[in-house]
Amino acid sequence: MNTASKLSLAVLALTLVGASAAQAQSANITATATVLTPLTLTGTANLAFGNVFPGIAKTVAVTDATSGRFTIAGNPGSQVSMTFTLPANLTGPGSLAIGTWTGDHNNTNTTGGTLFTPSGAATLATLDAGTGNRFLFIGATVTPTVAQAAGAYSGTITLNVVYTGL
Amino acid sequence: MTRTLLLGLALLALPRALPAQSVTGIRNLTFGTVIPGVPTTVLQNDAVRSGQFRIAGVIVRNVTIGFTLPTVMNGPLGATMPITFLNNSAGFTTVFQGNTPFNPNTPYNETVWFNATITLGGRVNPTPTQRSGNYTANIVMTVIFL
Repeated sequence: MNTASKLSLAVLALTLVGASAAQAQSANITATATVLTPLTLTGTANLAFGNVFPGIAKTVAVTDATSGRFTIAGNPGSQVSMTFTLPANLTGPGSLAIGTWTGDHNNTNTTGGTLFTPSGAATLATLDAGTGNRFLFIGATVTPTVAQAAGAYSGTITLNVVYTGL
Repeated sequence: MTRTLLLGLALLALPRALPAQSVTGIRNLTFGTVIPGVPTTVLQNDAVRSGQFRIAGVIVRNVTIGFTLPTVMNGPLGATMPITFLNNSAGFTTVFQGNTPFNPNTPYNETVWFNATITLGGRVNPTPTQRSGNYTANIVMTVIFL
């Protein structure tokens, strides 16, 4: 082996040895997340029909003072999905049919917002960009029979609200 | 003889022409907006939200990649939010091979040709009453060049 070849091998060996020395290096990143304000849902007023006469249907409109009311509070500007579990009958001394549900949701605590039909299907709404609130007003119609038993009747209206992620 | 000498000099020059080997954090792992009570997952191959590191300045090296992973993210007023990493939450990518998922919870051995990109996903599990606000956690990747 001539001198030049020996020099080349030496250089190669030096290079490989230098490259194979074990060493460690580290780097950092950050995991980030922003948690929205948890939703708060409050039933603020019952849907009250008052006195009902046998054989005469009675409707409470969303604009009536006795409409049912809910308040949603959450992250300002976020979209929510609202679903209802509604009774088909009120219970009491007998069974009193209830239906023809109506709804209105608004960013202020007044009617005149977006009309909708409460049901088990999702209704989308956007919480107020400033307050994070959304107000719901619920109406319906009861239809007593001509032989409806006298007495007090009631049923539960359940509202479920979740963020959609938008 | 002159040709052989030039070859030796070229071998010597090659490593010096490359940048120093390095490990760099390129991109944060970003979960974005998280809804209380709803787990949120970022996949390691998410082109926007996954965390990303880069190994560069290497010719050919066997490496062991390890992570120091958080179990919680820290938020406002001392609040914490659980964060987990699954056995496919990391990915190794080079120009010679596609994305290979691996488990970031245990050391991972690979061969780096010139450079490599390591991506990292994860999952946060906010409680239904998770305190609102911004949460962060530090993630460290250590590469041992063998």
